[in-house]
Amino acid sequence: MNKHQKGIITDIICIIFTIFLLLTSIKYHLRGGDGYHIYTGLITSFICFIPFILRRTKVMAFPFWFTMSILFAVFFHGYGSLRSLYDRVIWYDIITHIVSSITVGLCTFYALMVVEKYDNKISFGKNGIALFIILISLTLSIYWEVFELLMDVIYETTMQYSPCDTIGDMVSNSIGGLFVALYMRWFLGTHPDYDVAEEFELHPKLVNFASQYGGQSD
Amino acid sequence: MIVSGIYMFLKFISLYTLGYPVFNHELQGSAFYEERMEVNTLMMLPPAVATFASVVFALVLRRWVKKTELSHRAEVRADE
Repeated sequence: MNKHQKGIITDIICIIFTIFLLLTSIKYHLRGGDGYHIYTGLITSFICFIPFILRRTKVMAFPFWFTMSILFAVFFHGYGSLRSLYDRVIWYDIITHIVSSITVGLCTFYALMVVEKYDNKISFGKNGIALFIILISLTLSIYWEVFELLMDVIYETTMQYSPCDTIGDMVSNSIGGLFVALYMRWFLGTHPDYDVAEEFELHPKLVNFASQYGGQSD
Repeated sequence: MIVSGIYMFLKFISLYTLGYPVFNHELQGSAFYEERMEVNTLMMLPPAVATFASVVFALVLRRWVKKTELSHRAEVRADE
């Protein structure tokens, strides 16, 4: 399967996920569901559509597996909120956290690769990239837990069920982050000439902006 | 932030051994709201403080690095 075919499949999956979440949100609204879950459904359906928009407007084309991880992370969260799967299925939380942390890990990896490519002063190295993926993923997972606590304090919601639930989330996030770090360490070892700009098919204006920001003159 | 993550794991063990309710089934329902918030806050307070402190620390560090860079450049120019 070539890159173009993968792009078309990605677009189709984006559209299916978007429509499915939209319809589920509407159905939930018609059954008298509360606003928080409807907004979650609508926002997640929009996020599922973003890779499609970016690819079609030629701003950038996300890699196939990266798009899949974003779509599944967002879809699991949106669908789980609308169907109350977080409350009904014990392991659902674990699955969403692992998939989300894999997405966060991949985002971190690509961000670090962009910084390394366009900033003349910075070089992480293969081991450095893997280490930073773990550290940043864990930090973001702590930020998320703090966000949940703040939501519970301010809006009296039930985002944090118990300390055991929080620790379960942290362990799931660590597993996802560690998996991405190890995979990317192996990937960089076997692909020494990996070019992130080429992978994302970045728009020339974006490449130009990144080059200027990072201090590259060429 | 990583230290506060490790702290969360240790605090969880400490809460469990001290007999606090730490599992979902012990804190279900609105009747346990106060209790749930108490144990969650006990565990999450240092990471919450660290979150905001790390932002301030990052901004201060960024400012310091910039300042050092500028003074280093000035020194280089003076040498030239």
